[in-house]
Amino acid sequence: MYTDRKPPLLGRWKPGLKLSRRLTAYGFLAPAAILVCLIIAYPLVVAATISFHDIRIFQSLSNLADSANLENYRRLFANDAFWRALRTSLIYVVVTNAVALFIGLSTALLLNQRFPGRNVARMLVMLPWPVPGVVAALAFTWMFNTSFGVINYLLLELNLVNAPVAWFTSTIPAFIAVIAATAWQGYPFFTIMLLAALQAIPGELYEAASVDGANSRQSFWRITLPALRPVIGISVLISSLWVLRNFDIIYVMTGGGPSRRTETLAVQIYVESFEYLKMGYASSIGMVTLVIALALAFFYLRYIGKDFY
Amino acid sequence: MSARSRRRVRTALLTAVVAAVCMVLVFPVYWGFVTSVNISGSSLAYPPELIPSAISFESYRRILSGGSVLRWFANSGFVTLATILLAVPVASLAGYSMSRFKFFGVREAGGFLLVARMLPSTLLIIPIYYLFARAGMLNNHFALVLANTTFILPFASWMMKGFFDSIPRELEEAALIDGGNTLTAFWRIVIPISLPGLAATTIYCSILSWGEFIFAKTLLTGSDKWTVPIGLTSFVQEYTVRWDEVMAAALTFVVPVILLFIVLERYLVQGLGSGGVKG
Repeated sequence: MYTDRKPPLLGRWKPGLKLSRRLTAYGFLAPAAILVCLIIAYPLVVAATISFHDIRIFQSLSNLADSANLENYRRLFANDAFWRALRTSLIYVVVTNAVALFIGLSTALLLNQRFPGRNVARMLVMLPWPVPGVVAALAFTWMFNTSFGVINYLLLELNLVNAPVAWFTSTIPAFIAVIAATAWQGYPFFTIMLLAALQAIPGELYEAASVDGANSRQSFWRITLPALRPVIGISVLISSLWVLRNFDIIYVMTGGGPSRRTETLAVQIYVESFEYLKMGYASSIGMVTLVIALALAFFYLRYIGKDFY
Repeated sequence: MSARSRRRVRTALLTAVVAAVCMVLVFPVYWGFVTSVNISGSSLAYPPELIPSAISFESYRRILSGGSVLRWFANSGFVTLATILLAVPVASLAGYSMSRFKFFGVREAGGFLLVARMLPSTLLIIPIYYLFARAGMLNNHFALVLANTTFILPFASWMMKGFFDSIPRELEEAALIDGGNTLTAFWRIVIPISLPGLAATTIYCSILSWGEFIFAKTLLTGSDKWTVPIGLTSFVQEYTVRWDEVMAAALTFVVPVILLFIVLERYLVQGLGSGGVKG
């Protein structure tokens, strides 16, 4: 890892070639930079531009009917649907993360123990990680099916409910189904991060604690949790950004319904743009979402900055 | 109780708890499988059998003999292959630059890449749709490959940077002293040592590209161009859903990813360390 104490190594023996070194660096970076400018940076500028215009359908951007104005943003902040989506996003991010962190931490602690078949167990626990969002969404849609779903069957068998729950026609059950699918896909990330952090805690700490008469609960609260805190923080941040952006699970499972009650900001941008064809208005929702994401990313960069640059 | 038998009881209890937890966590995949091999041919039977009494692979046969599903698999395969062929070399170059040259421009580009992967793709898909519509590239696999590549680049570059960071610079110094330039040092020395890292990045890119949904949904308008995720959701929009067939197709779709994941798993922690990998 690079530290400022070392002089730049590659320039040392060829002092005259500083420019060529610079060119090499930029040359290596150029293909990625071109692609990113073309498909991320430039579209970002376009999105910002159209958020200041009233664009209802896919029309040419070169002859806009109106001059740049804040009308979209004014309508946005006056629109209940936007505030509801903001609240929905917030609940979605917080609850999903809480569930995923709980499962991730529990499984990481379990997998950190010694028992036969640990490698198989680790593989099974992490299995949802590579499963594409669409597949997770379909599997959960089927499990939560009102008439034939296995969840309702189990709930009825265990006498937890008297009648089948109509999961996708009322707000809270629909939320539960969507969060279950997202947390299922998201918890292995916590398991992976926390398991690595657990394995980095020196065993001597626990030995010393047990010599001093600490029981395992005290060891957990006094050693394990404090050691995991930074990793938990960064994982929650990364996972929050992921849940905030998440589109496929909600879109496939509920389409934002019932009556737009599970519509997060990410889903609302898509619905307003590609279903209602209000591109300008949708872009203004997108810009607000972007600001939220950047605020989260700012904390992430500050953390990463210490370690990696 | 002696210490030894206490330890034995503890291990047995622990194993039982782990087994129970694994069963719950893997249940969605298990249930998808049970649904797909349902003997009645229709999954719409009640009560559902938690452990099937007999199984049949009829739904797989039906799915794979229908032309459209095979077509979607071929499309997904093509898009993923083209994406990794484009993304992995570009990301390796960028990652190497970020790992070795830390001066003005490179650092900033690295920072922008980090931010770029946090942007909401539902926002960017609006202008990207415009861009490709204007270029006459809607319903075109190359448009999807470009979009996928660009969204994978930030992750892949940082992952490769992490692997390059772990390679000592002294190896390249030797090559440079012998009169080579940076490019030959990179090609002859760094790349061969980083093959495990390259493999991990390739697998990770494949997993992301294989399951990509929003770009494929927006950019590919004709059903003959669809990738599998889009095709799968179209099944569910039909009036009567054949869940056994949906799950058969979904599981067939997931198997390659899970196999790749098993190979990737031991590199994953390393990759995660270099800046938190998450689709």
